[in-house]
Amino acid sequence: MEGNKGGVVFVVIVLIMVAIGFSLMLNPPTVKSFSLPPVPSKGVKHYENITIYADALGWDYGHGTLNPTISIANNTVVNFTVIEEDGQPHTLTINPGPAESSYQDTLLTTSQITTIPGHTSHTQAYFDKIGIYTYWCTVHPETMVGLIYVNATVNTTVPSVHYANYSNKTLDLLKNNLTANGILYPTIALPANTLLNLTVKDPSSSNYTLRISSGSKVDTSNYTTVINETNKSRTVSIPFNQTGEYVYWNSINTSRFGIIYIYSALVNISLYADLNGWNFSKSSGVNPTINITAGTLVNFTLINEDNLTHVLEVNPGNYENSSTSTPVASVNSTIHTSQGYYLFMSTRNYTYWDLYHPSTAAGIINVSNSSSSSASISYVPGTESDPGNYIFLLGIQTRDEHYP
Amino acid sequence: MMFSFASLFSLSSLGLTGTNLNLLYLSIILGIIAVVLFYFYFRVIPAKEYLKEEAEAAGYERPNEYVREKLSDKPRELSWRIFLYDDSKSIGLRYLFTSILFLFIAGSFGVLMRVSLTEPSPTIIGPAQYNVLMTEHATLMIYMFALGAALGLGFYLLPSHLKLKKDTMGVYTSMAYWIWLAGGIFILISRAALRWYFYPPLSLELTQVGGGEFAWLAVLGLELVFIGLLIASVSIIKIIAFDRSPDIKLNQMSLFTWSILFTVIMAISSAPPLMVGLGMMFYDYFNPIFFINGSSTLLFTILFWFWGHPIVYMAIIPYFGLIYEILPKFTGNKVYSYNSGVWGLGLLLILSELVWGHHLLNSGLGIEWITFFTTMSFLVVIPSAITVFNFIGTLWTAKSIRMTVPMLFVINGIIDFIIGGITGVMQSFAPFNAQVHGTYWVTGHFHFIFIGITMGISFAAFYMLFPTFTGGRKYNVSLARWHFALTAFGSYLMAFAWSVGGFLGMPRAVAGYFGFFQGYQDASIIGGVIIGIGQIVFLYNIAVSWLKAPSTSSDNAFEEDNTGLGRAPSLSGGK
Repeated sequence: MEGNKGGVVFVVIVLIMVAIGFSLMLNPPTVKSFSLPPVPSKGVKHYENITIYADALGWDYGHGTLNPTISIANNTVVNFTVIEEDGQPHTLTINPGPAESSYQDTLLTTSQITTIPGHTSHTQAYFDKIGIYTYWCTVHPETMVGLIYVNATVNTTVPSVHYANYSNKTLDLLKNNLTANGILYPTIALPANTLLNLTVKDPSSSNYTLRISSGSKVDTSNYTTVINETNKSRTVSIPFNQTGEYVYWNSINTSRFGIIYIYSALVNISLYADLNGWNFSKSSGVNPTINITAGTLVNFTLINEDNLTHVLEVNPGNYENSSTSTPVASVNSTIHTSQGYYLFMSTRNYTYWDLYHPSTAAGIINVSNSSSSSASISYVPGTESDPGNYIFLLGIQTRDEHYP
Repeated sequence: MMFSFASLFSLSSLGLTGTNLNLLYLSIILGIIAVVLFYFYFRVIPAKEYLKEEAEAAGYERPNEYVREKLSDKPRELSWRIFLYDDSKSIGLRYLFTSILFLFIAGSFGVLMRVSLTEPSPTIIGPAQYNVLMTEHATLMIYMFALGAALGLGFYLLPSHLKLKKDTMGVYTSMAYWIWLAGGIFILISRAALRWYFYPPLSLELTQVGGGEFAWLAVLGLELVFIGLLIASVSIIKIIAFDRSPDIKLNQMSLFTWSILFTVIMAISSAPPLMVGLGMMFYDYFNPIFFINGSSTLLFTILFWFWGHPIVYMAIIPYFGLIYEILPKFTGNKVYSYNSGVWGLGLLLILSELVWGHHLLNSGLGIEWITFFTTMSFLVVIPSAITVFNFIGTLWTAKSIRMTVPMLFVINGIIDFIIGGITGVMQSFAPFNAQVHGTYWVTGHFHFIFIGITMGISFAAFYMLFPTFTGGRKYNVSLARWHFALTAFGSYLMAFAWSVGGFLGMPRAVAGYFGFFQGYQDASIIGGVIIGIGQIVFLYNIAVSWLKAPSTSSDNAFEEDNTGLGRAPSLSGGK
């Protein structure tokens, strides 16, 4: 910087740094944009005209149902007509998922909807992916928010065969949610080849549709409608032949669901959560290898040893992988024991690990293809807590001999 | 038995996968390289060797003696060598020019934010980008510009104001500079969207819709800034308390020295709570036990504002000291009252520690605390008024006032401070606060003060020192006047439009606004763009003026002797 070029050098440094700053700031890692697909010129299967009133107290306030749920078939072009009601600024914003998120597409801005009561604005949106979308107003996200269901073709068939086991369960319909003994969407665990006699009690006389799909979350494209009923309690028989994971839900509220595990064997395993590793200071040794067979449902009991927060995560593979792992149970300084299921379907190694102490607490679960239904665990399990406290159905499973 | 790189550093618990993880590996590698270079810098390329050569050339055996006797009171030119010297003046120049660099980086973010608000709905940049820009603008301006320029001018001017007898803290101060700079760079590249408060639980949400995926880097960076600041503060206290010449009694120290002393005392006494808070927050990324529920969030706000209020005083008190130094240059008389100047600044130090709660008047601290903090906030008027009346008294008793560019900045700064101070004291009144809390009124209040005092007086000092930095070159006065006029007019327009719009309820810190406020936003956009143009004039001015041949003395204007008492004590204090 000596000599007469000092100022020029400094100005150049300033300009370079400002340019670097701009390029950094305009591509922050926080930004991910979402946009609905463009409306295709041909090949559209369905058209839907929807008129909604924009009011700060809620969409369609004073015009029928508040924040109406919009249900459409897949591959539909929706022609939205938004009518300004209250002279306040509003937007029409859509994002995938059952709640508002910043990963969104604003179809109509405040300047397009305007604040002139009675002003009508139009836009089109094309939905080509099945799922739940949220439509809302970014100015009034608390009140103006509703759901859009994009549905697939309905397929309802119930297979019929003979069963080795029979099971009777009862669920109560409480404000559109399925409960049992006060537990919301209880987990149901059944051995394979079971016919489930399921009774749904509907004391509040509302509409409900019980649906079941395979997999670990709600699949709105491929499911079986088991009950479609108004104002009535009803009992149905549901056959479960294959081991695997199923989901049951009430289609009035797809964001909540319960899980049905169909297993070939059930094993209870207690793990002591410690900063230094699973079962640290226990006779089994730290991070014991667990040997089970494919199709085994493991009921993990997590017992806190050191008052820190621990989350048991399980994922396929020999190493921790947070993108494929599932949280099974968690304990912290106030909750000292907790339980959770994991169904081991594949013949391979799984890793069980602690989200907060992955470098120390991680072990292998070896799933073999043996026909034997008994699991061998290479350590002495700790004290088991009363299974009746947490297992909704399995521990008190009854066999209905008179079932045809 | 279970081993992977990710698990080694517990990174998976931060939710980092894929590309982000690779980025992190890259930064770890770069960090290791930086550590090696750092080692080289201190050991293999010994800065003292350079100094030794120069000292021997000047006939000195010991470099320290050479620095003390030859360099400490000499005008110092800007040169690459400031990065190799460890004496106070070199480090002061480093701080000063780095802080100006960050002023332009963060200032450009501010102008971009203004421009993005041309329409009520976010159009040019999205809300997420806006949040990042706002966080970076605020954090870098406060920690890198306001603090950096204050420390820089302190290190640059104190050796001659105090006739330093030894300058032995160089290694530590140099380390403090690099740590502070690393912290600033961490904050810049973290692109966090936390605002400058870092409140949990937002700062604990390392997601795209939370604080940003790299928000933890900003927490780390801020901690580094604090470490650097505290080392530099201890160094300054040692310079003032132990290393000053025995000729200079406490009551003869210049008012600028007093202001720097109060500033660093404030830093040392109020930074530790937030440093602890940030440490707890960083631990929460691995094991969330501290800031996980509502009441612990309130605890963090208190930890933050216990530091957060003193820091905004630290951004103005050194500049009050500079005003006391600049005024006598162009009025030809002494500061009206040296004692009331010291007491005014000292009372600001004490009161600044007792008013943090006025940032939390809407947070439910309880009526007793609200009454206490409101009362304390009103008491701040007393030292502020003492200071302002001292400025006015100095101007009033002057025979003639030379309206040079630094003087224009000073007078503009005093007027800006009066407006910003009055709007500030109004909002500490709890019922009024309920009306304007979270509106542009607050933004207008502190931009009046920060642009008028912090930025304006920095420019005034820069213009006064320009011949010294450049070895005797003059800046173009008419361009400098344009720079002043554009900055002053732009800041008035912007902050005034904010104050009025905010009084009517225009919410701040959001990427959009209601159409009703279009006029106020448009006015502030015009003001912001005018400020930006003014700074381009400044850059052009220093680039062009530096190319000319030296045509004046390179004496340091702040050390100029027109009292007949020697270079120090400075003009304002003493006999």
